[in-house]
Order: sequence, then C-alpha cells, then structure tokens
Amino acid sequence: MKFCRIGAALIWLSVCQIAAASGLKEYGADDWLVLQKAHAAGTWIVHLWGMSCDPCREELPAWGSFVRGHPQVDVTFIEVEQAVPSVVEAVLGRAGLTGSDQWLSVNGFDDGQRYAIDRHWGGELPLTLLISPDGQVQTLTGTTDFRRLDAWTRVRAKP
Amino acid sequence: MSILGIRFRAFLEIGLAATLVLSLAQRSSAQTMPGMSDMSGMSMMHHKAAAPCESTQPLGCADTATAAFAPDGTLLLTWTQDQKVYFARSKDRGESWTLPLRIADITAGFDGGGDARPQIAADATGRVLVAYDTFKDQHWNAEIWLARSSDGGVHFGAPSVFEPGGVSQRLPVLDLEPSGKILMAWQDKRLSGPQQLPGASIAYAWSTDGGGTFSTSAIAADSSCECCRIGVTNAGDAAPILAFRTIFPGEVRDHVILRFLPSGLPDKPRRISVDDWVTNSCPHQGPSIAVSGSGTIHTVWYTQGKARQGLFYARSTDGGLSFGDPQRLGDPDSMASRPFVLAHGDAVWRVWKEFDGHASHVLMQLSRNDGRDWSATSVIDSSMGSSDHPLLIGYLNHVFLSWLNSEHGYQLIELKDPR
Repeated sequence: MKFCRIGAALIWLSVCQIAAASGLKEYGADDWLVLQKAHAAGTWIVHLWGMSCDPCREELPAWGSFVRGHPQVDVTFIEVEQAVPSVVEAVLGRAGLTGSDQWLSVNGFDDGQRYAIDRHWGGELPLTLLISPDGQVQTLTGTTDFRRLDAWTRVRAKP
Repeated sequence: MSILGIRFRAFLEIGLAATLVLSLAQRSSAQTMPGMSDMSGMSMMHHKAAAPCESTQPLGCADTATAAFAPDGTLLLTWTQDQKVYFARSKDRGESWTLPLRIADITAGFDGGGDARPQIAADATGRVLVAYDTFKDQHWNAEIWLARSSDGGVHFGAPSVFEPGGVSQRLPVLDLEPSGKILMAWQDKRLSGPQQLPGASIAYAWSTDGGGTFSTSAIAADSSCECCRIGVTNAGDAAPILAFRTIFPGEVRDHVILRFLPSGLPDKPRRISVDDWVTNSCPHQGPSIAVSGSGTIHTVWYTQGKARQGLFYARSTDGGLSFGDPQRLGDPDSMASRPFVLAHGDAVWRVWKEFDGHASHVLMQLSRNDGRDWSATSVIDSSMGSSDHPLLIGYLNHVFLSWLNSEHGYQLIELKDPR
C-alpha cells in the first residue's frame, strides 16, 4: 500500500510539473535555440517585455487582441526581468493572454541571451521580432504598430 | 469519502509526501557563498526552484552591487539578491568583508529594471545612507526607501519611505558634496502620471544632516526617460551636475546635462548631442558623467538614434554650454553597453562592457590630458555568465573598477595607467 502511495505521490508531482509547463515557462540560457527549432520554417513573432517597463505593460491588452484575431500565427512572449511568476501571469491574464506561449527569464537576460537574439540589442523594451518562414528577421523597438503587424502577417499567410 | 479510490487521509499523506519531496529537491539545489556565511541557504532565487543560481563565488548570485568609499577609506557595498537589499564593509579594499547586513526584504514590488540598483552615500561623521526603490501598487508606481546608519554602517535603522503617499518616485541617485550636503535625484511622475504622458520628470531634494531629513522635493526638469539611470557627479564648483536621457518633442530620447547652482536650485537642461533617437521604448541604459580638475565635463551614453547608434563620449570645456562631436566607444557588433566615466585631475577613465559570443569583457581607455587623447583599449576583466554594469569609484589618487559577475563574484580592481 505504501508503494502505491509513493507512486501516487510521484504521479502528483508529474501532474504539477506538466501543469506548470503549460502556463508560464522558465526561460533559461539555451531556450532561444529550443524555441528557434520549434518554430523553424514558420511565421513567428517574438515579443520581449519587462514588468518595470510602462509601455510594455500598457500595450499587452493590444497584444491580447492581436493574438485572438490571429490564431494561425505563433506568438511567443518573454518577460526578461525575473518578475514574480504569479504577477506576470496575472498581468498577462488581464491582457487576455492566459493561454499564450509565455516565458519568464530565470536569471535575468544576461549578455549571452541578448547576443543570441540580436547582437545589437542594448536591452531596450519592448522589442518585437518578426521572423519569416525563410528566417528573415525584422526587429521593432518600442510599442507595436498593430496595423503594420497585421499587414506583415497577412502577406506571409498568402500561399 | 474517497477521491479517485483513495481515502481522504491517504490523499493528504500523498500530498504531504509530494510537497516534502519537492521541498527537499529545492533545498538540495541551493548554493552557499564562501565569505558570506550569513546568507547560506538564501541564495536560491525565490521563484527558481528549477534553475537556481550555480555560482559559488561571493555575491556570485547577486543581481546588482554598488560600491562607494567612505571618507576614511572604508569600502562600502550594497547589493540586491533574492529580492533583498544587503550591505557590507571592507577595510582592505575588498579582500575581506564584514558579515552582510540585510537592510530590506522586499517581498513584493522588487524593481528588476535594468538600471535599478541601491545607492550609497557616506559622510565624514560616519553617517551612511542607502537608497533604493520598490513598486508600491498595481499601477507600478514606485517609492523610494532610505536606510540610515550613524556608525559607519555597523548598524542600520529600519528603512523608511522617503515621501509616503507621494507619486511614483523611482531610480534614486545620491551625491555627496564636499560640504557634507547630500543631493538625491530621481525619476518622478508627479507631472507625467496624472496626465498619462510618456516618461517622467527629474525631481530632487537636499539633506544637510547626512540623509536624516530631506528638503521638500521639487522638480529639476520636466521631462525625462523614466527607466534610465541618472548620472551624477560634482562639478568644479562642487555643486552637483546631472546627466540624463530626456524626451524632446516627437518622442526623441536624447541626453542632457543639468547643473545645480550654488543656491541649490537647478539650472536649465542643456543638450549633449542630437542623436535623434525617436522611440517610446524603455532603453534601460542611462548615461554617466564626470568633471575633471579643469572643470571639463565628460559624458558617455548609449543611443540607437538616426544620427548614430552605439556608445558615445563627448566633452564640454565651457561648462556644458556646448559639447564636442561625439566619439564612438567600443564595437557595436560586440554589444558594447553600460558605459561609465570617472575623472581625477586631468586623468579621465572610461569603461564599458562588450560580449564576444562567449564571455563579457570590461574594456577601458584612459586619457591623461582631459579627454583630448585616449589610450588604446585594454581589457580589465572578463566573465562567463551574467554580469552587472561596470562602475568606477575613486579614493584619493586611486581609481577602481567595481564589477559584479556570476563567474568571479564581486570584483574591485584598481585601474593602472596602461603605459
């Protein structure tokens, strides 16, 4: 009976871990390569933001609307300032981004992590990467012009 | 009384067992830090059970560290780690340290912005002031906290809010005048907040009792970029002079200096350069300023403007009325960032950070003639992993690099003339 209970405890732990993985995920040193591989050959938008950044937080609801209106587009959100996970989830939730692909920097964005994404990125936020299926990257600094983003998405959605 | 075929008591036992296993797994991954025994068991990032900091160096798991020399030569250090603010002293320039004092435990509202860090000022009577900010509400308004010591940093009183109930106040900096007066300046939203305008203002207050009390705060400049640090130093007349990123019409976020007059009131801001960086982003990378013995003003900054991109240096020989052409610093393809400048007599040091794809390096140039000519670039220190901003501090004729990184921990390195 005790073995059954230990087994059930381990299953409990696994369920907890899976549940955690389906929401806010921890972004570590090698995760950019993992994400790139997962989104290879597709249209992909990466939005980097920080909790202390006023324009970042203020435009998140617009991102929520964009994601709802473009379910065919992969959009990844990465918070880079090691904010408290529950707070990040709450802010994303209020913006309508509860089910989005969302990541939280584990140790803060060090130089290597910024270099991997864009070697000319000085750390300004928000930063948005528009990545075409052929691997071409457009970098947008500051808040997003969603009409431009919509146009970019529509062009790439054409056969 | 059964859940999934398991009795309720067994269900509780399973839950407790799982919690215990998870707790032990988290504890086993915590690191201790040699030389900082008071912090053992606390170095695991509070929300990072899956990937704790792995550094075993003193302060190798800290986020930011700010150092200053007290007038008697004692090195004072304040740092943040695990959303707490710490303080320690060293009588031998960082060879050994007192046990860390935990000044504050910020359970909520820790400011993790790229330019946020605690600040220190220490006067000749043994008074030490530490200033830092936290977010205080769901609208991300911030408040400044002050912790005071009257015995050189042996003991600190409980921190108190600088202006309780005030508008958002963030990113404080401290400047100690030779007279002992302390200027505190910060990013303040009393003007921009109510009107929901972009950016903030630069506000200030004076203390004549080592930070025990401050004058009523006032605005020094209406507009500023709210997420960038303020650079501060003393001008030739000993009055403070600031450098900060402001917001010109059209969302142009370029840099200015601002002098304080002998009366203690601020002069008007003067532009350093026309970089024409039109952005509504948070650059999280403010400028640095120094004034050499001749009164020449030296500034370094980061921009992504239309006119230029990267790190730049400029100097003014007319008290800030005009600045020379900006000179590029570092290699923009190597992520040159976080510039800092310090002057002593006619000597001027400038440092910045670069990344080569494997390691971060702190690079330095020295001018022996007030910024007219510069030495070749030399690498002062390097680190794998994460690293803080490189800062320069001086004591008597000595200049030091103060740099925190995860590979080597806290480093205090005296800068030598490379000649």
